[in-house]
Parts: sequence; C-alpha cells; structure tokens
Amino acid sequence: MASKDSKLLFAFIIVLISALLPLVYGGTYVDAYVEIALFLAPLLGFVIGYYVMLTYADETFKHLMRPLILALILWAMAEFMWSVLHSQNTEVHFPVAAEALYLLGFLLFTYALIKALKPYTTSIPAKRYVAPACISAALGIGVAWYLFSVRGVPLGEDAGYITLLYLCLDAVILFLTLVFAVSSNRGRAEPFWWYLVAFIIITLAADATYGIESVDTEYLLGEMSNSLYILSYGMLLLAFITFSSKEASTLRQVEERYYTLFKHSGAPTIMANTDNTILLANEQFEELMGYGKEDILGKMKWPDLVDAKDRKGILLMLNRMQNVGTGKPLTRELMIHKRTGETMYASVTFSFIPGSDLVAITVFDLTQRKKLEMELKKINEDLQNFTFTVSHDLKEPLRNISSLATYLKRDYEGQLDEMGVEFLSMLVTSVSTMSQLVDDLLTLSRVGRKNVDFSFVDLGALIDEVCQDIEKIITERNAKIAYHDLPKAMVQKTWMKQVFQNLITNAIKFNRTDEPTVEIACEDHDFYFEFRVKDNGIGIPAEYHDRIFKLFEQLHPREEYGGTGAGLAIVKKIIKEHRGDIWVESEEGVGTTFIFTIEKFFIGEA
Amino acid sequence: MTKRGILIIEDNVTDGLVIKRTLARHISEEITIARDGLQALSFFSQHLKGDADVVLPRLITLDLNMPKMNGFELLERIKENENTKDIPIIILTSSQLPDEIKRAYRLGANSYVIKPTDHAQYERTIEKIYEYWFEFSLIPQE
Repeated sequence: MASKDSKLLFAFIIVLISALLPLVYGGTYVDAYVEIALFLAPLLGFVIGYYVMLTYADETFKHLMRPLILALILWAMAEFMWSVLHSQNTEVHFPVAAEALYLLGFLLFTYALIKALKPYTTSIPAKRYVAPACISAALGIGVAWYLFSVRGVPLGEDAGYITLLYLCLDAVILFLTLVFAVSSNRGRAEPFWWYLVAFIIITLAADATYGIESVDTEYLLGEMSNSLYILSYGMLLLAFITFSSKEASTLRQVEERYYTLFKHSGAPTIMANTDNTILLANEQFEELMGYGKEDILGKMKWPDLVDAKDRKGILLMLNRMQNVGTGKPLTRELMIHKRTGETMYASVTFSFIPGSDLVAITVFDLTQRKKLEMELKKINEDLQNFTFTVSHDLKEPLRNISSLATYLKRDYEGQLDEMGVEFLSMLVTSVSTMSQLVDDLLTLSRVGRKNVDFSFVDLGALIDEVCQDIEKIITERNAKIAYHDLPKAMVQKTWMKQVFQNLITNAIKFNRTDEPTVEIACEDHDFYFEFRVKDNGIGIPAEYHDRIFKLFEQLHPREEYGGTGAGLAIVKKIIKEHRGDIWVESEEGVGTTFIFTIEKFFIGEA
Repeated sequence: MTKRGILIIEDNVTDGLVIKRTLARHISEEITIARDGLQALSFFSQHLKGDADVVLPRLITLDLNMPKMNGFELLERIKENENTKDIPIIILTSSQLPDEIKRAYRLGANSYVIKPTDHAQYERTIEKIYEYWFEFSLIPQE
C-alpha cells in the first residue's frame, strides 16, 4: 500500500511542477491560459488514470491503462512544446516533434485497445463488430469528405496529410472502443467505455477543426479546436472518475468482503495461477502445512505438496476441466505432504475463478476420518478374508458329498428303490446349487482384494472374449450381441469381463423371444464413461429395481431360470471398485437397460 | 530300479478315494495313499531301507493343506532328496491363492491343479491328469 501511495504522490508533484512550466515560458503570451489548460488536461488525465490503474483495475484493464496513460504523458509533452513555440515565436522544429508525439500517443492507444480486445475476440459475436465498424467508418469518411471536398483542405500540404492520418486513427480507435462498449462482458465498466467513446468522437471533431483551421484562417476555428480538445480530455477524466468512484469502489467493497471471507473462513485455502504457483494463501493454510508466507507466495507450486502418486492424475483432470470449462468445482481426496514430512489425507476442492487464470484450492484435513476409515476397512477386509476362508473350507465337504452321492448312485442304484434313487438325485442337485452359491461368495469376497491391477483395455475386444466364453448359451438361444463405439478404458480386466459376462448372460437368460438381442453402447463424458447394456427381455418391475443388486436376491424361482442371485451383487461391487455406479431402466415385456459408469482417470487404490 | 505306480498324498479320505478310484480305471499299477506328510516320508524311507515291497512311484499327487506336515514342507523334502527329486509332483488342492501357486512352483512342483467342487468335473480333472502324464508326456522310469 505504501509504495502505491508514494508513487501517486510522486506523480502529483511532477504535475504541479510541470504546471508551472508554461507560466514561466508563456507568461506574457495572451493565449497562455488556453495553453496551460491544454497542457494540464492530459497531465491530470495521466495522474487520475494512473491512480485508477494502481487501485482497481484487473489485469486486462491494466494492459489497456498502461499505454493509455503513457499516451497522455506524450500528449502533455506535445502540448507543452506548442505552448513554448507559441510564446517564444521561434522557428524551431517543435511542430514536427509535437506532431510526432501526438501520433505516437495515438498509436500507443490503438495498440493498447487491440491488445486489450484480443482475449475477447473469440467470445465477442461478429455482429457486435458490424455496427461499430460502420459507425466509425462513416464518421471518419464523412469528416474527411467534408474537409477535403467541402472545406477544400488541400491534401498536398503537410497539414492535410497529418489531418487525414489523425482522422484515420480516430476512426480506428473509435471502432475498437465501440466494440468494447457494446460487448456485454465488459458491462461492469460500461459508463467508462461510453465516456471513452465520447472522448474519441470529440477528439475527432477537434482534429477536423484543427485541419480546417490550418488552411482556412478566416474562421476562429483555432479557439474552437482547442476548446474541443479540452472538452475531449474532460471526457477522458470523466471516464476515469466514473470508473474509480462508482464501479470500482463497489468492486473493491465486494473484493474486500470476499477477501475477508477468504482470510477468516477457517478453511485452509490458496489461490494459484495457471503454472500452479501459489499467489495467495490464508493463515489456516500456512498453519496446516507448517509453512510461512515467505516460503509460499510466488515461490511454491501446489503440486509439489501433493504426493507423487496422486499428482499426475489430478493435474490431468484439472487440465481437462479447464479446457472443458464447466465451471463446476472439483473435489478429490489427495495425499498431501506437510513441511514436517508428515503425510495427510485431505479432501481438496479446486474451483476455477471465471474470467481469470486463477484457481482457488481449499484443503480439508481428513486424517482423523481416514484413520477411522482405515479401521473400518481393516474390519471389512477381515470379514472378507473370513468369507473367503469359510467359503473355501465349505467347498471341501461339499465336494466330498458330491463324490459320495455320485458313487452311491452309481454303485448301489440296483439296491435302492425308486424313492431312494430320486432322493439321491435331489441330493446331487442340492450339492451343485450350494457349490454354486459358495463359488459366488468366493468371487464376491475376491472383488476388492487389491492385488488386481488396472490396465488400459480395449472394451470391444473384451466383449469379443466374453462372447467366446459364453458361446454355448449364445448359440443355444440364437442370441445377437451388438456393440459400438466402445472405448479403451482403465479397468481391472478380469473383473470388467465378469461384469459384461454377467450382464450379457442375464440379458439372454431372462428373455423369452426367439432372438434375444443385447446392445452395448458407451457415452464418453468428461470424467467418466457411461455404458448401456440393453436387451429385449422380460423386463424388471420398477419395485425391484433396487433389490436386484442385493446379494442372493432372486425375482424368479431357481427352477425356472437357475442362478444363485449373486450375479448382479458381484457386478455392483466391481463397478464400485471402479468408482462408478450402476442402475437399471426397464419396462416389463419390452426390455431392460443396465446403465453403469466408470471413472476415467481412476487407476485403482494402492 | 524301476518306478511304478502313483503315490497320492491326501489327508481327506473321500478325496483320496475319488482320486484312487478314478485313476484305477485306467492304470493297473499300484496306487498308494499317504494320509499326511509323515506317512509319505516313511513310505520313502521304507523303500530306501531296501524293503522290496515298496517301489518308488512314477508320479505323486500332493494336497497342500494337511495336518502334521503340510504339502509345501513335504514338497521341499521330496525335491531335496536325490532319490525322489525327479518324480513329477502334481499339486492337487482347492486353494487358488496366487501366493501358494507361486510358492509351489518355486519349490519344484511340476503342475498345479485345482479340485473342482462338482464330482463329475472332479473326475474329468483326474482323467485329464492321467491322460497328460501317462499318455501324452514321458516321465523318468527309473
């Protein structure tokens, strides 16, 4: 703050000292007061413009303001030369130098406008260009025509060319300013742009009168053009003042409000630019991470704080998000390294700030929750291991029963009556059902064991493999399986195969048509794939849409369709392992569509 | 000295019976069952002491989960012994844990086969073992 104030003070002192200069030189000259006014106006414009720029303007605006205030200084210098020239009446080369300064100022202004407009050129609709271009061209051409044809300003003379040049530049600047003024995304500073438009139009008029005056001295146009110049500077000042007093002060108030929120919200938060450098950090963030402001601001890049295994994924996602520009924040659980070397699980939210390159990052420490989660996970894993062991141990006696029943039937069939043989068959069927149940339990307990790797898998090829595995049922039922636009995705191959196998088998099994058809399609979303497996089967009543995913839940008697009721529970568990979701859309008698998602950039948990 | 017959090392009585019955349909050589690792070891030592009735087997099937001495320990012992180390050993178990499969091969197992739960499949599996090791591939005879 102090440096800004001292800069302003310095600028004011220069203006005050400069103000005295024309008095010293042109004190005796009659028009000296006009000259002083003409000289002071751009200078004042410079100081106020400088003040506005330092205090309120955003980056885009600063790009415009810097050359503009430089142009104002150049114009002030040119005016000063004129006043010296007039008062001394000497035949020095001041006029050429002064005109050169004017021109340089205008060129700077034009350049600044083009540069400031550049980021918007793609977002401003073409029709917004048309009206400003027509108005400026008409004004420029009209004035030039009036000057050179009606008033007879001779083009051949220097003054004529210079006037033409000024008018051209005026028209260009007018056009650019008008584009800004009518573009709604600059709406926040609208009055500013309209005053700027007025400034250019009046300057244009002043330049025109100046042109006439230089060849046609019978009118008192010199005075008029001077008045117009002063008036035009007045407009410029008004533009600055409007901006600073009304729009910007509201802006600053709002900013102040949000800055306070940022500082004292209690949530550790930082603000970073596109090359990930941290520009702003609140105290909670410093406290959480153990760094001081001097270590962080402008030096530290936030990805350095993220654990290496999470870093690539999150940067990829953010990059993607920025390109897509949904404007929605992204929250991810990441492992963060503190200064002490400790690691911390945190929920990190990234929000892009619209219209800027900045991203706000909020960090919530989840260490405590994660600890509980880990305990729960451990219990869950124990339970899973228990299921695994139990179902494994259950298989041995089952196998023995199956063997013994078969031998009993084979070797002693003659010694049993009809009932006895029937009982034996029932025993063999029961054993086979139970062994299927145990197998499904085993599969379910194996999903989620972390030793299966994720890899890039061509899902079209995967479905071909599945079709080969279940060729028997496909041929038996004359089923048609079609898929299109299936991507390559990061999945656990074995399990994903199981998903498609279960869904396709179900689609064929629960189908009474002569030609069961299964269609598999995929929609590519920003962060996930959405698959649809559609059949023309018997359908599922709405009240069962949730229940079918529960373990051992069956809608139809086992005798009719077989199965154990674990298939969809297994599918759901696998989908959850891919950070996705599964649901069903169905109409009885028409068909069923299973829809599931899998996250795109997820590469499994360590 | 020639090697004849098959040694089944299996603690589960029914499983032993099934393996023996199924194999007996195809080969006439002696099929012996050892109930655990120690029994298997004593079988070998009887032979080494010069008991003429005991002949080294051509093939061994081995269960992994057994009381007293488990399959891995026994596997290691058999593969360490000069007299027995060239006998092919087929692990016949219900455990599918990747670690156990790896460990068995590392210790010198020649094959690793899972026991199916369903009896018909179980018989088919054993028949396939017979076909592979007795009809398709050659194994040391002495």
